[in-house]
Amino acid sequence: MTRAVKPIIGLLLLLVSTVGFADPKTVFMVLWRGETDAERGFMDYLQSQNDLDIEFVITNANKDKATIPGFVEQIRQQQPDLVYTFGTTVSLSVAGSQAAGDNLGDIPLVFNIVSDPIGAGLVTRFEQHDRNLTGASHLVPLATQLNAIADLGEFSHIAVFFNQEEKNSQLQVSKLQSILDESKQFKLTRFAIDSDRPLLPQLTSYVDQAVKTGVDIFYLPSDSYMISNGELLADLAGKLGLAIFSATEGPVKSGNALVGLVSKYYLVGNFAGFKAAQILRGTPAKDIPIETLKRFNFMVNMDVAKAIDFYPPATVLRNSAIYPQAVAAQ
Amino acid sequence: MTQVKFQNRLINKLGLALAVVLVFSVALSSFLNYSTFQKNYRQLLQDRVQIVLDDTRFAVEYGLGLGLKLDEQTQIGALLTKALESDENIDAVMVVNNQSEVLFERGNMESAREGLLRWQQSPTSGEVVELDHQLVFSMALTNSFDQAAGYLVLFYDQSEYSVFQRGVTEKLIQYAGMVVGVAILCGLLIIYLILRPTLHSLSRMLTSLSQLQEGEKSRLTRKTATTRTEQQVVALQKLYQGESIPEQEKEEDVKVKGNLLILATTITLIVVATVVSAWLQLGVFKQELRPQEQKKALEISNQIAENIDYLLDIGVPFDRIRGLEQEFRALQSTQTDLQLIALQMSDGQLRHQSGDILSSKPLEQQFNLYRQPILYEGEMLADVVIGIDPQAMEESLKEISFDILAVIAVAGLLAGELILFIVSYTITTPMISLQRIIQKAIRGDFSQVMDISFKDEVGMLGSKLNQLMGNLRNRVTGAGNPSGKTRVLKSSSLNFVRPPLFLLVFSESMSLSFFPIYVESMYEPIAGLSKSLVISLPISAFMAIWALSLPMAGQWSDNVGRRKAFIIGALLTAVGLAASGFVDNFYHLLVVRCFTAVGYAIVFITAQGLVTDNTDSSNRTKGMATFLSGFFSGLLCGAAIGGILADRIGFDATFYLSAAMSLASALFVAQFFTNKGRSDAPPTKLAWQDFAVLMKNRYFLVITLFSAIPAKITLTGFLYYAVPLYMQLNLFESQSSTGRILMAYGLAIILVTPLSARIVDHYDQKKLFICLGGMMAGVALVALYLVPSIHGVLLAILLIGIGHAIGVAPQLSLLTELTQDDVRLSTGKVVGIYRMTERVGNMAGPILAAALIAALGFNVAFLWFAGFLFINAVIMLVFLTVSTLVRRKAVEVMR
Repeated sequence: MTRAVKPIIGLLLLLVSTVGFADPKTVFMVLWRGETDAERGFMDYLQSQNDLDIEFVITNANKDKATIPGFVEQIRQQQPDLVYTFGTTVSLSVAGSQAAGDNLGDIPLVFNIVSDPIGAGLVTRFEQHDRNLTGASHLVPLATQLNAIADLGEFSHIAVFFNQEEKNSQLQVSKLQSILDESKQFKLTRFAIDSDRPLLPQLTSYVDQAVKTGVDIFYLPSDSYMISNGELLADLAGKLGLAIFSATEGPVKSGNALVGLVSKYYLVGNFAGFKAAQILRGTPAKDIPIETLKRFNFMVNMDVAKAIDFYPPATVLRNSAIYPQAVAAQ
Repeated sequence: MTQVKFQNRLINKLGLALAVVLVFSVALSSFLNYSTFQKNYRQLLQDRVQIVLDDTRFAVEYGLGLGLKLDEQTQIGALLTKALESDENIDAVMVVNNQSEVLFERGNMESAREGLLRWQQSPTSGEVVELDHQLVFSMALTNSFDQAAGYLVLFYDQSEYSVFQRGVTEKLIQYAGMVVGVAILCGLLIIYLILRPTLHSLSRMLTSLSQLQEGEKSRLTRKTATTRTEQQVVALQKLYQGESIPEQEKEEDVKVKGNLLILATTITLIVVATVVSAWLQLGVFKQELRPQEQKKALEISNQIAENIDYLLDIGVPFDRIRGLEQEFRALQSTQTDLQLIALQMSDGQLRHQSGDILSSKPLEQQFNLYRQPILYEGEMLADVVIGIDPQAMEESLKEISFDILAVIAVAGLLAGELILFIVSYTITTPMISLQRIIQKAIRGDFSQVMDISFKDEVGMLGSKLNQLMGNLRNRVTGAGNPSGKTRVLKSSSLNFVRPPLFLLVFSESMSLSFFPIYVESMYEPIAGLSKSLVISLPISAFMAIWALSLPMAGQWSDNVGRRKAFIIGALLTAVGLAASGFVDNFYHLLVVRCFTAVGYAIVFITAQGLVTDNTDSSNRTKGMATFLSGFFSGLLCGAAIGGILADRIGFDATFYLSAAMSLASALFVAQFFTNKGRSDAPPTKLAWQDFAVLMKNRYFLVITLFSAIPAKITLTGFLYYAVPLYMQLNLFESQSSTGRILMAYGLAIILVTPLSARIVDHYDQKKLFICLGGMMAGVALVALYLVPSIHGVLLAILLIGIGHAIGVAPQLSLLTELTQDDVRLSTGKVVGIYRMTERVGNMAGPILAAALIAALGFNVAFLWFAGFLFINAVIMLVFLTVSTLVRRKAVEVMR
């Protein structure tokens, strides 16, 4: 008997779901510097969901913070089903900080490419944050980066070089220190660079000092001053045959670092899309955790590897994007 | 002189019994070996397919990690082609998206259609869907945030495997048949040698009777007669020839020499045949697994070579490649038969070695070694060497060695039952009849004749005797006088009841090791009851219905006759067991179990009735012991075999088989039992009054409440309910090992009961033993609390078995002793009411255990249970000591 009933119920459910299918949803997107891979990932994901029919409204702040209140007004008038924001600035301005409370009433929001949602004041916790929003961060957690360094080889002592004027760098380095204080995975030596003085002499003496104290790998944080002057550090490390691990893509691509672990914007966009789809299917945004990706991309520069005669282990290489790309294309 | 030609029918029967147990043991152990082999074969196949799947998945997920959507990854087509070409038995391989739409496909789509439809009904990852001709493997392809982006589905053609399977099965049957054949021939020869004296004696007696009939002089005389029966025959000769007969001694049991020897021979043959066939089969398995192993090694080495190619392609110099051993180790962690993976340089050095080399012998002698050269741009770089455990099949056969041991033990017990029965049915019992008839004849009663069911040696002797008795009757009453009525002396013996009882208990006990788990599989919430309590209900209901139907079943059995009652009871049980396997709903199961309980109760009480019918007060205790040992040996065999089977053929099929065994038991009774009609034993009718009288007797109350009921609670609550659940939910043990562990209880009972009975009688310390038994059960549960492992369970069950063996028997005799002063109660009544009351424990056991476990968890529940048993034992001890003192004082005062 029950066996005969089941298909009928199935059929009914099918009917109900096709009715639901006809209902289009509006997603209002506020971008910072035009469409990036992050938005492509976001929209691709949502468009690939057969049960969702979505209309995108795309607005662009063009790196001008003053335009944002206008978009918020527009959102309040249009009452879309969901709002998407790119980057820390836009997200904070549209959603408001946790302290200030929800800016958009009951319209849920998904943010994307916010490196530090807690630091920015969007939420105080990643789970059960109790706000009508959720989102994806492109940051690779520092602990994951440290594990990646452990995967590379038998290293014991990391040197980190950073611009003491950059607040973001200081924050990263002190986090790194506190993680390592607890885990004792590596020894860490911090070298604060004074950007007002010439860089090369500072670096030369620091590197010298580092080698003497037994440093066996360099860590290059997301520090714009150090990244733009990456060649200097790369030369010094190359002479010593030391590897540089980079927190960002740039130095690996340009040949100033051996290896890095990064999130692809497109995939972070996919992830934000996944969260948006959950909301559009009825899950309250406050029940959806704010997350980083679960798997990240290794990047390895084979020219650097050859120069320092240090090759990452097979498992890392098989999982890596290989640069320069001419090598990978073989 | 008349020469009588013998047809060796006796030996045929024993030979048949031998064949039955040999076939049972060798067939069952071959089945176990085969299913282990099949598991290994399947594992090799799955390992191989898994390597292909992993390789493909890795590449696809790499693409997903770069942000390429599944349908954008055009390289997937090439990846699938590569996978397809890796094994000619792969029908098709495809990548489907989350909506189950096929994105990429390679291979024969037509052959994959049915499998794809089946898989699409419930897309799974990692599970293998088995179709008649095909295995469907699938694997989720996950993206960077661990969501399935799609699935990789592979269709593996099984037809080659089926052909192969048939070939192996044929070989196995050939070997097993050969071994059994040789064993039977050897067995027949030995049994013939053992039986020779008996056969000679039969032949002498038959010759003597023939000579007597024809008026010749017999060579069998008082002096040459060697056995009791021969002496009786000599007496008959004298009677026939009209000589005077010396005063006859009381009849005594006839013993056929060689009874134990035949059993020992059979058991030895069982062990040898089972071991030899297992050894021969191992050879077949190893030979047949080799090609599979080779394919797997090739798959792995291909993959390794490819990975190395890639590393070289992206510019890593060969001697700078690092970390391969980590990848190898990861592979080894999932495939334990891979003992060595490494690269061997041209100088013989091993690099990237994963796995240990324990001796300096060449690798080829230590492992099943496979090598494959790595060529890069025309240069030979190294060999991939893969060493597979040459003992892998032996290792997995070792895993089932306990199962095989259990099979041998069960076959041994089965042999005991069968041979005991055959010897009793064909030799001992007819001989006793023969003696009785002669004895009656000597006293002048020629009316009895023998029941001749078989035309074997004993049967021929019997018919000769019947002729002589006819002559004697004619002599007395005058030839041709029709009024010479005869009465056939029906042969029946206590031993006859054992095989069918054994079979029936065997069949009922087959579900013992998994029954609570089976109930759990169809659990339905009942408002207000915890899950574990609901699971306990079918066991408790069974016990309740069983206990409640016993009195009525007993009366009914007295009325319709034992044969009919037994057959109907066994049939009901068979139907109930089959239905237990068939139902898939909790309430239906509950009903079906109650139904089974009625059948079981009928058989139980009928078997007991048969014991009463065939014994008198002088040998009833011995008769009950026979009954109980038949019961427990059936229980332990059933638990063990049921567990072993359930692991391999599933719960339902095991129930069906057990139903078939109940049916066999019914058939046995139909074949060998004669209906005596109404029982001649006067029925012990129980009245409410008797209950009232007994309930006022404090000895009865205390012994029942604090010793008998706790013992039954332990049996059903702990053994039948808690142990199977604990073994499988907490220790993750198989049904087989649960069955074997439960077997320990029956073994302890069978082995210890006779010993303890002797010791109790000798020292006359019934009270002490009762309390000791209770304490031991308590200690058992404390032991399990302290050692929460399979060893702890085994220890606990052994202790409980021993505790029950030494505690339960003295309960009854103490009870009859202490209540005998009360004139209103016969021993039969006391025993009847006692048995009925203790069944409260049977019913309450599972429910109590379930409630305790639900509230406290297994371990703490065991401790509380132990405390409960200790308190009971202490109450018993205090009460019995005090009452003894009071009694003594009373006696002194009276003096």
